[in-house]
Amino acid sequence: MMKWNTLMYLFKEGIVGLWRNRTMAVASIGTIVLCLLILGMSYSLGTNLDYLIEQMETKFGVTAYLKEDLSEQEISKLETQIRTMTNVSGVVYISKEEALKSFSEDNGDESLFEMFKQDNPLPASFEITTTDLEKQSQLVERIAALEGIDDTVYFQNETASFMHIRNTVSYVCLGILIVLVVVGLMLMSNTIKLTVYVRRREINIMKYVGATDCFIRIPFLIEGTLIGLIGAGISAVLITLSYDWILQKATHVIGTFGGFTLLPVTHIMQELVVMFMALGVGIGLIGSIVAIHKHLNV
Amino acid sequence: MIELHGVTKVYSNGAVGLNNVSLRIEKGEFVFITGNSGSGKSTFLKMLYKEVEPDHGKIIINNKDITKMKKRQIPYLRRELGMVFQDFRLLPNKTVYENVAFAMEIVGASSKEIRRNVPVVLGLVGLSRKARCYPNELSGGEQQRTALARAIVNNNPILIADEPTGNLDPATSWEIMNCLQDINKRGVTVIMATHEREIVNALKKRVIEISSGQISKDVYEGGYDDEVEYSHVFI
Repeated sequence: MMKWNTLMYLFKEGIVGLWRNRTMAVASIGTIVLCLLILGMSYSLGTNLDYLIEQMETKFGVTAYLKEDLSEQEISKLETQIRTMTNVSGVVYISKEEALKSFSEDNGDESLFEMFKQDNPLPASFEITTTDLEKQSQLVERIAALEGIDDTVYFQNETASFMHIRNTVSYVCLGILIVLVVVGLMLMSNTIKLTVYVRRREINIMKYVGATDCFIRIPFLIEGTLIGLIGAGISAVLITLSYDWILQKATHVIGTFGGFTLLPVTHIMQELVVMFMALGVGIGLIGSIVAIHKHLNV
Repeated sequence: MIELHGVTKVYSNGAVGLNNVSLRIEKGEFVFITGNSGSGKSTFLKMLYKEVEPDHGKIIINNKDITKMKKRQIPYLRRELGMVFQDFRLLPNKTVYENVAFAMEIVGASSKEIRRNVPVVLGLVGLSRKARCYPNELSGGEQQRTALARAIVNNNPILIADEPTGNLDPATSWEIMNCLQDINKRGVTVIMATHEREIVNALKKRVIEISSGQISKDVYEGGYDDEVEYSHVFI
């Protein structure tokens, strides 16, 4: 087992090494930052897209109109039937009066309510929200088949085209992510090869003096870890700032477009920071392990 | 202290490094290894610190058969051997003091021991005033003296010097030779490979000449050009 003051020495060596090879360190940190920024952007885009879909799924509801002359008992029985179906997240009953009221309010003419109060032409209905937009049409079929349901209305075309957009965006995002991660890894491995080339002689000398592999490796690992941590830190700050900026701009646009919201910075960063730290340290560590491995055989 | 028994090494390209070499070096000896380039001198030295493995034969250092040694024990063998090279092999990013201290850090010496021993050794090789310099700020002789200090700071019993004066002018070479003799007087076994006749002739030490992978001459108090046949018989 290594002595405490040896470990302290190796830790110090790691930090000093980072400073002495700062040009290389900056290149490595840059590469890690690049990779993590790409990841961060994809992640933010992806989670927000899902979040938007979630919001839309509740907005793209199904309206089921009831037949005339159903008793209250029949209505409540229907409601429980629908509520217990899979893929249903909420059911709201809208009576004939309520329908007329909102109709007249929508038209800005209170007198309409009085006018049709006695002979209400509007049917009562259920407003049904779904949990999975993709299976909405199957649900609609089942609802339409129920006794007492007159007709169902839902945004079939809107739903379909929205699903299409969402899938396309996901695939494109995935493709870009894969390409960029590969590019990032290539850049990273190149940088590390260069670092090792510079240090090759140094490693050899240490071996001649009688340093164990472990002794040689630890400062490099500490250096790699620090590079990863610094890279993760810089990426986290950059993503936070830019996401915040985009959020302010976007709330403006999306807010007026049907009351949709984006995820707050804190929500995004909670998971991203952990991911950044793990990936940054992982890349740094693995990079240095791979890089010094073959030069330890002297 | 060091024994070779029928050591043979043939490289994969067919070149013969050593051919059935046996010899014995006692504790406290000062031995010159001479011979032309490619004669097997370097192979011999490299085998001592296990950069090259023999095909046949046994090498025993300090009563340990190093040919049977496992790979991860090599660093511990090298700590017994101080090593000095023609190209100095100092860590470029460390000062003279740190280079010498590095050898002590490796063996897990406490910082107190390091602070006590390093200045003593630097004083011994006459580099006390250069302790804070980096290798590239030193002359060749000073760099080699730093390497010497590093090679003995752990009280290493054996010093292997592979043409330590090869890159130095004659005056500086003598500085180094004086250092090496001082080190030898302290009981360290010194094995030095060299080409330089003047040095070998002047010091009158044991001379082992290697040619074509075999010992062609082994003389005590010898000179470079002695025409004495190799006549020693070893176990």
